[in-house]
Amino acid sequence: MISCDTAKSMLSDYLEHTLTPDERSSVEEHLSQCHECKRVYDDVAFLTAKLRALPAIQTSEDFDGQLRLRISGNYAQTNHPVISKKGFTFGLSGAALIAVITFFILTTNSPEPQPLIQQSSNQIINRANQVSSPIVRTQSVSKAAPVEIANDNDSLNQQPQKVNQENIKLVDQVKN
Amino acid sequence: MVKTESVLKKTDNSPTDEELIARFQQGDNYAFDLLVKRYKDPLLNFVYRFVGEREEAEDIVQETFLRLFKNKHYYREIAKFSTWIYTIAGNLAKTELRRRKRRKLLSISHFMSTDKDYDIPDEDSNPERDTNTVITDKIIQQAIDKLSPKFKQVILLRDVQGFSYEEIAQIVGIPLGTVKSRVNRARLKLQEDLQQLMNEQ
Ligand SMILES: [Zn+2]
Repeated sequence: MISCDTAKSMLSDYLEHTLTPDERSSVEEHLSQCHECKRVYDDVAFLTAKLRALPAIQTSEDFDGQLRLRISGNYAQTNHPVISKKGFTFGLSGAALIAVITFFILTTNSPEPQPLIQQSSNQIINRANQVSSPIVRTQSVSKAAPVEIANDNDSLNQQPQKVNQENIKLVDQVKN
Repeated sequence: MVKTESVLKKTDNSPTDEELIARFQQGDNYAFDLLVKRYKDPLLNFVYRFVGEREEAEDIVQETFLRLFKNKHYYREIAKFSTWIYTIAGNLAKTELRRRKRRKLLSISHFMSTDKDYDIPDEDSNPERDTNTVITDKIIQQAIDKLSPKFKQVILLRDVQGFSYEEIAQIVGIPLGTVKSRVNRARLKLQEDLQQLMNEQ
């Protein structure tokens, strides 16, 4: 009979049916006679099934907005405050950021509306809806972001980063 | 199983990951958005199980996409996009674990409290088990947390994400035979750790 160590080293292959018939029967023989290895095998089989069925989590609602901030922030830091290329612009104004974030909050399937962001005016929402590629194609918003929106949201514009951190907290509170 | 649909089955009209990254490399940023949409949740689940904290996991996934955005030209079509992006995320997760000092374990009362939705029904459906104790997802996560990063990486890729051994060999950058034995050892270790955690209750 094969040893316990040998049997254990073949457990995954046994579980996944990748052994030759001979190997398979040698493992089966061992498991039928070794209570300890049988128990380990049952546990491992149970565990792998359990791991496969672990409940999935989802990214928070402002994930894309955060990512956009991170990308534009990164480019700002590396002395490329505004990079204009085919159809997108980095170096967004605060108003544009808020608008795009708003767009995202409103278009993702949000079970819990985000009160912080929903204060934004319809005007912003309408403009934001023109964006076709939400994460990086922000040109239309940048162009459109007018002074009056900036005035409406002055306090928000000054610290977009901060607004978003608060937003994350809200999301987490909802989820926990 | 949280693997992306694109990996499991490709529907007729949707572009492959490789088509998308090629488009992105040529300046089509909408393709980047699609890749983010496709991968953000699968990557989050992978990293979340890796580092054990949701907020941290989300941050790492963001960083992964930032790397993708900045380093898109490093991708070569010799590898599948999925293995490439999981390599980036896995390395970031490992770095984070190294950086972070050992997390204090949750108190037992914490994970004993409620986890009703995910409980294993009871011993009726698992006659083989010699214990009535309920195994919750939280205890499983604790056992995962106890694994070394290299065990953790392969068992998550295999059993949670559903990658093939060949794909895992690409992601981790080790030979196929090593992947197989490492997955097996990781499962045995997880079984051991879990048993210990159960006995501590
Ligand atoms: Zn044995």
